[in-house]
Amino acid sequence: MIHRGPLFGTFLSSAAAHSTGKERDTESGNDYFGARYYGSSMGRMLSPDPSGLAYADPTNPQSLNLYSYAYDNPLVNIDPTGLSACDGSSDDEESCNEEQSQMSEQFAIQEQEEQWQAAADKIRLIHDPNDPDYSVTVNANTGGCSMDDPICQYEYEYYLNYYIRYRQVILLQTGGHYPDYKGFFCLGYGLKNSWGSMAIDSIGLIPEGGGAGTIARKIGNFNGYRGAVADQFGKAAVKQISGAGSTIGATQSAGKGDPAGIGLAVAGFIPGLGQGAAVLSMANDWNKGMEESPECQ
Amino acid sequence: MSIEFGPSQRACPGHARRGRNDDRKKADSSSARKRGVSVLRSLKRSLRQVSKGVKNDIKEAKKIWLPWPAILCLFVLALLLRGLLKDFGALRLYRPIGNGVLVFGFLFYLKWRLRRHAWFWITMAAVVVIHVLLIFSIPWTNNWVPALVTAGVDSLDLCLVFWILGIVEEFAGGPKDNDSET
Repeated sequence: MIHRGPLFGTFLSSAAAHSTGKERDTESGNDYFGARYYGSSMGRMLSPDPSGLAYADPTNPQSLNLYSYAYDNPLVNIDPTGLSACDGSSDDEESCNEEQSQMSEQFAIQEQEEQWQAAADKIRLIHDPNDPDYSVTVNANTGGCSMDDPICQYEYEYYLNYYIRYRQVILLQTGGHYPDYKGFFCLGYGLKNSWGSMAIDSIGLIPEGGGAGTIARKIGNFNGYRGAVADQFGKAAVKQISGAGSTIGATQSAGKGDPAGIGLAVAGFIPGLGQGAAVLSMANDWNKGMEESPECQ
Repeated sequence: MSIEFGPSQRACPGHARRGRNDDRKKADSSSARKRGVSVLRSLKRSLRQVSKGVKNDIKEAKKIWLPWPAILCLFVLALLLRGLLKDFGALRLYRPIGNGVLVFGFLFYLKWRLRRHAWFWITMAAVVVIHVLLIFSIPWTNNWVPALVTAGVDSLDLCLVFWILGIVEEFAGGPKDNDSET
């Protein structure tokens, strides 16, 4: 291990890369460690460890000194990123790097989460102080801040941006779940967003007399395909399922590449199941419509 | 049992023994063939019986038309199921679980007359286990799939389970359709 500490670094490295291989600022003479600068003339970091005392080790008093480099023992410890140093046990610089990058990532996430939470609170404060859960109410004149005021507008956009990112993190963390939408009007928004899929799904609810089964049979018998598919797939198989006229329709339509015919036919095969599947699907569509609606979030 | 030997056989006892063995072999093979044919025949008969039963079951299933209160209840239950799955972060399982429950509802309604038979419950347990395994092993999507397609899959599933139950009923010596109403 060549770059063990700043002392050896000065002897062994090139002019550009100095202490432990870090880049030296030619004007100030300080070494850049990623999270902060190291003042080589003083043998101290120029700013405190951003991780604070979170990783301080009570058995090692040097870890309480947030300005020290590698716990003031560069012969044993290493500090490749300027965050909390790795002790002598983690001899390998690579593993130390990895450890520290994980730490910095964790700190970054914590910091961002705090900011986003604060942003969310701010948005609530500006727009709807009476309803903390219903947060993105774009009502310009509530909470004592007017959208006519450019500062208020700027503040709103700034925090809204944070808030949207905060929501994304919540969605990622909870696997798609977010505290539910509010308000009766969301039912309407749900219908508005999903009426097409709901209409198609509701075909299964039409009674047998004029419904899916009948239409399927008509499509199936249209142009007289009867028997063509029976030859293709085996007469016995079709005979087996011929109890359901609509299935004949399905196979015949399938033979002619008619997806509507297939769909209608299978729905008409056992009408009760068609009804049930339609209800399940419509409930799903409606909910999805509400979730996708920005007004409901 | 005495066996009559011909003159030539009498003259040569070894030849006579060989002849006896040939006869026995022929008799064995013909009886085995007969047994095989009869097994095949009975198998065919059983399958015909099962197929007839399945056709009747499908006919019965086709007669079911849910009244509107049942539709409303189903809708509310569907919403509850969806909410529950959403809370668990498993929304993609909504469709297979919902449709699976629907199919089993139909099955139990149509086959409730078999509830006193152990083989029925054992078979249903096996079928449920297979369904649960499939539900958790297939990468389902939560994208929109027309209800017509899921209804078709449900119908095929129902028919398949009818077949399984029919075969088990036939070979487990369960009651036939005409004497099964208890």
